[in-house]
Amino acid sequence: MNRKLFFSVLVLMLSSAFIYAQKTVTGTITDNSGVPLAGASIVEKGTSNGASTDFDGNFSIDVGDSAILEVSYVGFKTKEITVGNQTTLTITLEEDAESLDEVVINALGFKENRDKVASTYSVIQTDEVLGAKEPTLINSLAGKASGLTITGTSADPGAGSNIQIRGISSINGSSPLIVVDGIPLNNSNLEGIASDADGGVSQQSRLNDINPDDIETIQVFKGASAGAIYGSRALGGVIVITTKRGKEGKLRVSLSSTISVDQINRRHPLQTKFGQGANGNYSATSANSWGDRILDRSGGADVFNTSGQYFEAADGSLYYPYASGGKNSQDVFTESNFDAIFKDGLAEDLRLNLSGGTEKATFYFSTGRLNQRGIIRESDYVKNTFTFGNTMKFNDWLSSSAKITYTKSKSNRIQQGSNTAGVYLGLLRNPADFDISDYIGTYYDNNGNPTPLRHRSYRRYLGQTVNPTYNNPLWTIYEQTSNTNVDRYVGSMEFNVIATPWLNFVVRGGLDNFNDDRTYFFPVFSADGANAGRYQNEIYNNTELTGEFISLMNFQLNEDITARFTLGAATSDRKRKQIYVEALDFLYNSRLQNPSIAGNIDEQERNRRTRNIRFYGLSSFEYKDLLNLNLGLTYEDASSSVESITYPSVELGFNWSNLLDLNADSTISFAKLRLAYGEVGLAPEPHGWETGYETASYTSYSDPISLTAFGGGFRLNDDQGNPLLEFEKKKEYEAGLDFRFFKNRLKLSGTYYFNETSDMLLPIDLNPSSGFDTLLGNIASLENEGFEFDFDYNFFRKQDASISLYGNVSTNRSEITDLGSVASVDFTNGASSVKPSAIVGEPISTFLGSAALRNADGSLDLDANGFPQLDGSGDKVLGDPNPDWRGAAGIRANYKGFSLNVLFETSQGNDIAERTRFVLQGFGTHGITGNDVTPSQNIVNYAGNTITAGTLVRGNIQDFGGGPVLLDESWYTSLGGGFGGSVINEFAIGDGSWTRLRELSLAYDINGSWIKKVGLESISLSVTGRNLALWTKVKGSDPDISQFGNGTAKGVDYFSNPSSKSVVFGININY
Amino acid sequence: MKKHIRKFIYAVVLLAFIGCDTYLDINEDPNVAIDVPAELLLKGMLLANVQIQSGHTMRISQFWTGQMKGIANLYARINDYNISPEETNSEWGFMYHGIMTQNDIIQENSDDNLVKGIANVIEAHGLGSMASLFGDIPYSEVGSTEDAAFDGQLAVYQAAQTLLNDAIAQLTLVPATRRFSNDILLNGNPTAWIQVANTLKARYFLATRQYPEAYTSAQSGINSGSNALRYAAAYADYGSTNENSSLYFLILTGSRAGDLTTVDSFCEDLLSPSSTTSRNNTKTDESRRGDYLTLDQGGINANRLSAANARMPLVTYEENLLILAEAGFRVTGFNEGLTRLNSLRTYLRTGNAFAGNTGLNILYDDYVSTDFDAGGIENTDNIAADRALLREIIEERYVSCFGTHVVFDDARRIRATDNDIALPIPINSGSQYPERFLIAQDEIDGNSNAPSPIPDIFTKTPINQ
Repeated sequence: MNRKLFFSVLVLMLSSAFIYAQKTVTGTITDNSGVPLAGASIVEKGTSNGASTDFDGNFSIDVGDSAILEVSYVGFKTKEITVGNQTTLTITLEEDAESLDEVVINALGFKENRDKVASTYSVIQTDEVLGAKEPTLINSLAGKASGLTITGTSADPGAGSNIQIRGISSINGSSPLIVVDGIPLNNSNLEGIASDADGGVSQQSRLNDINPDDIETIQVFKGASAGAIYGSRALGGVIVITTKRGKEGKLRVSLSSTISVDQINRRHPLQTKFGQGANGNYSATSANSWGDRILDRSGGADVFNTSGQYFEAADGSLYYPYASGGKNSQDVFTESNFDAIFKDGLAEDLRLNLSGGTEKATFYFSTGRLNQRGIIRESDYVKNTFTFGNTMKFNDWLSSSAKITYTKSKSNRIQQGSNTAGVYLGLLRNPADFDISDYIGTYYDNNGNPTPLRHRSYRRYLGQTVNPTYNNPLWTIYEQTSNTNVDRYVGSMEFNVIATPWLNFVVRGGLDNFNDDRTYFFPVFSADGANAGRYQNEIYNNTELTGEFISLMNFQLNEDITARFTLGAATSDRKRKQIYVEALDFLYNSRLQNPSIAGNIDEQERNRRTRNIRFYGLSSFEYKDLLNLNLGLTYEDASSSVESITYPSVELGFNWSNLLDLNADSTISFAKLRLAYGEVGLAPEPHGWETGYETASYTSYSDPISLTAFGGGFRLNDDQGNPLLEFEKKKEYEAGLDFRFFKNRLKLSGTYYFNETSDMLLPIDLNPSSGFDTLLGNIASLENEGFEFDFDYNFFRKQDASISLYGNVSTNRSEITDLGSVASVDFTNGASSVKPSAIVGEPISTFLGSAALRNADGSLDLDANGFPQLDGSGDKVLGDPNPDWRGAAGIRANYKGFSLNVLFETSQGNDIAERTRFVLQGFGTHGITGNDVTPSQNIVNYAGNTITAGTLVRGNIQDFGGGPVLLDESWYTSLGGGFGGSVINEFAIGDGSWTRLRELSLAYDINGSWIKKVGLESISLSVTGRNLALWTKVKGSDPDISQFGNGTAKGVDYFSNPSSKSVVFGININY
Repeated sequence: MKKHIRKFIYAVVLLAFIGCDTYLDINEDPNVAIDVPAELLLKGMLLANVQIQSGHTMRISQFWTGQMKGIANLYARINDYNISPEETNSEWGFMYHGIMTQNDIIQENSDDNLVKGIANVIEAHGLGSMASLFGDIPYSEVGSTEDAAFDGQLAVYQAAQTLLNDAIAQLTLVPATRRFSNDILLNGNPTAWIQVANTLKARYFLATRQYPEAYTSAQSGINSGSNALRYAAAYADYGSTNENSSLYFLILTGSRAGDLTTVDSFCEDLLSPSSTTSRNNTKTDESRRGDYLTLDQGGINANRLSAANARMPLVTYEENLLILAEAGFRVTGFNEGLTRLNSLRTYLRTGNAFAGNTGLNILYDDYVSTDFDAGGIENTDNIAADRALLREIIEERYVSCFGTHVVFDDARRIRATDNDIALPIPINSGSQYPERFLIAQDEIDGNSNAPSPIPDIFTKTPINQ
């Protein structure tokens, strides 16, 4: 649309709305306990004249003489009031016990009857969030709504999680927009320079900065039609959070405390029969555990050569080189090594909130402190939050509300993933017969020269070199640190102007600032390229300013039709500064965490800024409680797009049960058809228009050299910019049915959706001969299609007791439909040999990687010995990490003060790349490599050697189609295990389906008279089990975690830190 | 209130709309320079080329020619010829983006013939190695289309020759005293770069078996050890931190340290005086060179090629001398071959050609023609004297060009046309020698002109067919 024309229409619509009435009536609407009802509707009967209450339940309406007011509010019985001579009214509404109407929050922050809403929402109540007892907010949303997928990165304290609604809508921003009290909240999960996506530490999600206690409701908007209100960042759906406000009345105090005990929920099976070494011989420096049979050793004391070099551990223990054949001990340390790294985690969460107020003003104050120690020793997360909010009514037409939140958190998380300084990599590759406990000490060379603070690891059992090769995991947790310190302020201010009885204005502003200061310290003698020490400091400073102006108009067009128009203008300005300091080559072996100790310092700075403006109009028409029609139109422009975008939405709700002659005994209580169409765009990442110059490092394999280290220099960036970048566009169609049966006791809701995202921005891997590595462009498109089904059946209801069965099922099928001229896009950026990728015609994130050679009929093309061969012709499709369907089912039961909640969650048909298992097969530490077999016939191994029948041999017998063969060291260390693209990674893929007991909780509310006597309102006690049971074919890890923190590179396990299960005890006291 | 509403609305609306365009005009990238002088791109090209010449593929070629062994993890598999196309992604990126894209900017924007000449030598150096390793590759259409056609291997070699002629012409215009400190290999010495260009011309003529041309070019080639192209001979702080160290040092001290070694390799046996397949004789003692060429995580020291600051060979004086020897032999005859071979031995016995433990011997006495007669010390198996001399020249090239692609080039070239005197390099697995590398996965994925299926590693490149 022409921009000028659009604005003219907008201005015209605004100004045409001024008409007037005769007499002003003001008043307050409350529930029967005196709590003001915000957003209640007041309509002069028989006219189109109406108003709604502000946050304090106050309203003002101009009416004619002898007017009758109809006062209604969701969940309450509608009341008619004759005005007469009164000019001030105090109206009390009674709750409608029969009403099961759910309440949703509209764009203005006002409540609306869910039955009148046409798009697809899920509402998550605050008690569901708090009941999950997860230390992080995002994880507590898991399983709570259909189409909502939460994927963790690990159980590290404070680690972030990925949120997805209806699958991945775009490679660039499929995370939903988070809106808190009308203000977008940053929920980034920034990897940074210092910590790679494939290794490093699990990063945090900024949504977890919120104190869950502040939350009143969470609402999940799934469809694109929500974009009409929330703009382009709504491409991945919207999660609208409404926080608590103070209420008029006495001072209310609530104190809650929970204590959570966490344990690792899955352990990789490790073999304990064979020692370090190769070819069946012990070797104290071997990477692998293909050594001797431990029980075949003599069992006596080990014999050492004490004449030369040795290692003196911190506790004085001495280690000498093994004499030839000197390894005699049969000791195995698998369990003690594990226990040295893991312990029960403990989280204490204490929250206090105070609220209260008068007719004119209210306040809300909360504070919380979470102190968590993780299941890996030394990992922790401490978060303090403070929130202060108030509302103020200045006069009969102006009110305001304001809130400010301050969060301070600090956390140390443990290095993981594809990272030789990571904890799991060092622990799981560690041979069964190596005791990790003495990890630090002094190394003396053959001449007696000491090197203090040397790192002793299984491949360097004397600490004899500066490079430990892999970290001893104890070094990882005790000597290295990865600290994150976050300070965050979120403030918002809102003015509500009641201009006329039918016209409201809302002006809102928000500020969201965080400073995320991360320090990574690898002392001298650490692995991962930090033999000479490495200090990294990375600081993100992120500031987002948003402003919005909304006008809302209500009309009763005639007796049957109500119309409401919303016009809004919004702007946002988001900027982020990233400062990175890397200090290498320490001048001495110091534990000082400061670049001043280093001989080689590199600094980088990255800035980004994006601005956005948006104008939107929404009109809602309601016909007789039968039809709802919502039309929306948004104009949006962003600094990073060369073109603006205009997108419409249409939603139609048809309550056809109102056409039926229903009464209280009818089977059907409610029925509604929903149809919606919406479009939404996603602005490109900023600063993508130019191809600039950069510094670079060049590595072909474990050999990086850099321009910086050679005195500096430049190259033209290999990632090509594009001056024609514009919005990505998503279109979505959906149709749904809502039913309620048996006096609303059975609720069913189903939705079908189809969406298509086109012009998707993708940095496409170019073929090298194009002269560049990647090109960013509006190139790709994808489709998603799915069903969502929610149910809730309150099948038993008595005076004191109630039992409900509830749950949801969803499916989502995605397909990449266009990638321009490119065959595939690797979402791991070359960091994994199994690559979740975009491939035309396949679901998003389909695994690509090296496969076994196959015959035309699909059978394995075996070598002469009957073993599979590597297909050298390039990557093949190996699997699909997307589930066929997901679901959750639970039982909610209440009896008097007791309540029980059981929630199961499942994900079926998703593949996982079990790369940890596969790599450990190569190292000979995986449990599967500890098997013994006695073949009943002569059998061949991969090397072509024949093992005669009846010989006890280490390995497994398998038939690939050419008769049984022996899988032993020669197989597992060549094609059947290990890393890189020259193994058959196809054999690393497994079925990642899982079912878990997500939540099992029992709570008891004490609110008897004796409680009141001591001056309290209520006490509730609870015990919750979280993730207590997991059923899956995957051995060793929780298939719900992922090596990569982003949403697209999913389903890969590569020495990722483990997941946990917990038991949580809680108490909540209300005054 | 009511009377102010109109004003209020208009004010807000106007404020919101005025200057939207300037408000949104903030997309210029605040982080990157866009006006970098073209000359500052040279160093990155040098590093990209060092990786092509001395990085992953060169090490793999050493496994396949008996110079090193891959003994664990990825390198153990590749050692036994299990390799996938993703292994060459980096090399292709270094060639096309790291070298060609940058050189296009230099040739277009720079007025400095020294920098332009050096940049063209580098491009030709990378290009020749790519042609050698991969056979047909995109070149002539690179930069003009994303789906560049694959040029024939011979045409690519010819393009490299043309580029080297251009480079020599550019460098000839530069005063011989000019220097350029951003050149970390030769400090911008134009004379040395002209010699390097001529040696490269000779190398490629040898590869395409144009022996007379090779002989001519080599006569203008590198004429001293100090004019040789070595990483990073002209950088004073070379080896002072990890990221400016020798690639051998990096891989042997990094997380892949134990995955490769020269211990028990064919080459080690060849050099060891005590081995049964030793090349030592009464006029030759390779003990010190054997020490120098020992690459193992357990034995890194300042005397060895694995030292952090050991200058890795790229295009050397030794190579040029041996091109003269082989091409001279083939063009002029036995005596020229022997004379040139002895020139190399003269250089070797100065002790300046390599480091190594100075406690160990070096002995490189001149050979005489009778040494190659039947029964001579270089002909104990009684073959024709001509063949015996050529065999020794090729064997000397195998040792003297250690750590460069020349060894893999020679192995394939000699096997194709002079198999009777080829070195008995062991086959690591199966019954065939690798003859090439796999075209990069990234190229297969993005270029519709890539062959399908791609040639496997046992398929000879056109020049050796």
